[in-house]
Amino acid sequence: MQNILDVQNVEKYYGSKSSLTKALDHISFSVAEGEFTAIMGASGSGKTTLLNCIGTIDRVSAGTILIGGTDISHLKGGALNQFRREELGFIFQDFNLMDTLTAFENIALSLSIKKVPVAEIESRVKAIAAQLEITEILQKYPYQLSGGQKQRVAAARALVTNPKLVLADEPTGALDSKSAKMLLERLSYLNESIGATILMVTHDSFTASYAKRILFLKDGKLFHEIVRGSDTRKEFFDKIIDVVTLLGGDLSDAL
Amino acid sequence: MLFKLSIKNIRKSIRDYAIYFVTLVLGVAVFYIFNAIEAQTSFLMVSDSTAEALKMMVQVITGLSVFIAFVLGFLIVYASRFLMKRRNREFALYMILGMRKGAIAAILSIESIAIGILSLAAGLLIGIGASQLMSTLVAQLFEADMTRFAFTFSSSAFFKTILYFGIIMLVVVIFDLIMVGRAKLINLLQTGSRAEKVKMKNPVLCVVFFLLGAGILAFAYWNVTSGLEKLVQIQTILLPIFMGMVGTFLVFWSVSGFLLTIISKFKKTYYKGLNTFTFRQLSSRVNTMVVSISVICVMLFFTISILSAAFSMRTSLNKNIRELTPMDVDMEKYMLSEEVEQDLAEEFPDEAEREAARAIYAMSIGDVFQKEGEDLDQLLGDYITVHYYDSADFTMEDAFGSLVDEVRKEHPYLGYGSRQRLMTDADYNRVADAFGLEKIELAADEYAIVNNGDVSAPVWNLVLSNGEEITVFGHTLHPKYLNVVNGFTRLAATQEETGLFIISKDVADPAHCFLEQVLGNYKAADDKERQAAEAHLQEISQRIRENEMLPFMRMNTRDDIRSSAVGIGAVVTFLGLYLGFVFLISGTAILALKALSDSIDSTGRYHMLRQLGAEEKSLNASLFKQQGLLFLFPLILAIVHSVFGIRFSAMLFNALGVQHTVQSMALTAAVLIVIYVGYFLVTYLSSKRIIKEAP
Repeated sequence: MQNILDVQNVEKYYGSKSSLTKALDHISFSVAEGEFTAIMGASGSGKTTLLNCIGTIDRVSAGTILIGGTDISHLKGGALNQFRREELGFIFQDFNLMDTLTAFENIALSLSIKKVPVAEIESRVKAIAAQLEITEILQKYPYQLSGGQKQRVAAARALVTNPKLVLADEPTGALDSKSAKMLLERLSYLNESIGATILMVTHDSFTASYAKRILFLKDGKLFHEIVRGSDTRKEFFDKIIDVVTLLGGDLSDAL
Repeated sequence: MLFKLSIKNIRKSIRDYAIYFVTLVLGVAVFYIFNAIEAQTSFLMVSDSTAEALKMMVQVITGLSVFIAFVLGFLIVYASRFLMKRRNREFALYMILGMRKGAIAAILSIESIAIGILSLAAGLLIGIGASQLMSTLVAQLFEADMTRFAFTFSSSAFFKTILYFGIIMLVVVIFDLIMVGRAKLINLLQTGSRAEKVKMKNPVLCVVFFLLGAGILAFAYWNVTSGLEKLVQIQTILLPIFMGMVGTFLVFWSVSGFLLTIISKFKKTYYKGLNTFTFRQLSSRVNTMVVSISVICVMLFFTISILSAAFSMRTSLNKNIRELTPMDVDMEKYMLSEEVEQDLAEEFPDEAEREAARAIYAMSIGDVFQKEGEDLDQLLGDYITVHYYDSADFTMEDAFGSLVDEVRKEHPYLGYGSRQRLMTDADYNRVADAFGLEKIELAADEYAIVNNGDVSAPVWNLVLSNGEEITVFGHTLHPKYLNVVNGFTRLAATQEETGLFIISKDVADPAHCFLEQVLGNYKAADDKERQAAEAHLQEISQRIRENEMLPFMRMNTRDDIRSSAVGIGAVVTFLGLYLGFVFLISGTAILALKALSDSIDSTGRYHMLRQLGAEEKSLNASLFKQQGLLFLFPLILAIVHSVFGIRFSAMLFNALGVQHTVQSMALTAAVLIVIYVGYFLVTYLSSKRIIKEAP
């Protein structure tokens, strides 16, 4: 299978020469097409910085990031916007839905920004809405929706453009456990049914257990990696807990 | 330290303050310019009557300025309130750091005072400069003599401006202090994080209200145009204006409700690019701003109407005066007619007094001059003497004949008992010859009516076309023409001849001649001699007045009429400009501030769009569309209002001989566009900067 994402020797520094903070320290990994990967780590481990660099929101200090073969560290201005628009989809912890637009319009917006013909928009929005089970609420406004519904609308918005890579930053951070479970089930369903490639950042073991592979980050370094393989989700969860315990108190208090 | 913090704050947010600053500077400048008019016009060559008019204008402006100061005061306090809101987080930070409220209040006060001083200085500078331009403009507009033009600076206006704006700034500082005193940390921290709820209005109600609003507007429009045939009274103006306000509000309320519903039906447009976002933003903006948009629309309407009326007034007056003063001098004196003899008998029971009065009445204009040791032939080159007649048996009521009841129903307040003035066709033709008017030839049994007033013309036309016969001096006459003859016999500033009856010279009875009139031009080769002759006549007039002859004699010169018209024109134009400018600045500034605060509340949305990959260019385009349409909506309806408003004021002014011209419309449009578009651009550029910031 082809690699969608190639992270090679990425470093990210903050501060001046005299007091240097290494947020990312020689990180290398790749994500294959159709993979559902989670990145786990405590606060300050650099996981959000890594996601921002991959999502072209931030720039790396050294190393290269290839998405679908394109070196994004060399893209600038309009080309960067275009790349973000064409190839990436984002899901945020606080949903980031437009409060003046209906759910339908929120999803359609990412298509119209991409200049998708109007004739196509309706059918594509309806298709993705059916898969995320939000067809009934399409005409409602964000303030009329529950957190879980909002996050599924946000997921639909990220996925409707068929991005090469979906980046999710703590997608369950603002949800109760029932809504979180529902969202994650839909995400892994989409991962399997349409082969969406998802990279998710989380510090929650339960959320991470829905992924097929987990990268552990500590102090800006890649610390460990586990793959679900043929394990059930419960078995995989137990494995994660083991690693988290191994990592020490840092992450365990996030459980 | 606090001072340093304040200055740094101002520097940092100087562009946020742009609208506030522009409004303050414009307010100060306009305030100075109009209060400096007394000093500015002192160099204009003015006669006594103009000086009187100017004095009156200065008084009116002084009174009006208090009202204007209140309007500007409210505006400035409102604007500063808005700026404070933007900085809530900053104040929250100060409070978390443990700064005392007193210290925060001090920072704010220093900032307010610094900005106040800065804008006062800039405004006064602009005001002093622009008032020079203004006086040049005025002199040109009113064809006044500019030979004594000098750079003038009005210290009274200067200190008055400082005093008024000082008080306004003080009020702003007091409001700042109250705000700081009341501020709660939690509220400061949470500003801007509220999610907006989209309220949907009932579409049926929207349609009903729209039809109602449009109906009210149509009725108001009809009322001020075709529905208006009667003489205008003040109540007839106020009602349509009130209906216009209500109609405006209803239209905006309902349009904001179904605007989006309609646009979203056009899926091709609606789902193109950022249009979904743009229209949603716009619709929610219009929804929350219905009241202010309506107010702004009405203010714009007032501005357009007032400015165009003011500009028309001076254009028309100049044009009228040239046409209506074809000669230099118009002198009239009452004569001893049968009717006067009767009046005298009642007024002076004492024989000696009556005789003295009779003697004065019996004198001709030439006799009066001779008595003063002057010679009419020396003063005037070519002149004509004509006479007017009247009769106790021929009043306005008699003139209407069988139509009197019909006319009385339409115009209840005419002077029905007043004696109508008559002139022979021979005399009128001499006037017509001198004035360059159409001549009238009458048979012994014919009469005609000379008229140039717009209101009276249709009444007389009705009488004439009905073939009404009149009886004067024992003769029965019938009309020669179906319509009035357009003309006049007196020098005047406006079309004020409301009906002079012309009869054949064979019919006129010399015993009923009550008025003698001399019309002439000065004996003068050049302008200098002409001015000398004018001064000489004014001096004679002064002597005649001292000899108490004036109640019997009236003198009008072309120069007098022109300069007093400058007075009327200047008063109306200046007051119109003053009010118009202030309304325009206030309305537009409120709209600009609302639009700006909307941009601040929406920074998060723009950030979100950026994350979705929307380009900066398309974000700016969306912002431009939103704010452009927001500025356009009230303007469009205001222009529609104004079309009818101006037609109404045109009708009103026609009675005064003032006509709206294309030129005055163009001037109004230019003034409006410069200020309105200026505000729009400042708003757009500031907003562009605001949405670039991270939330």
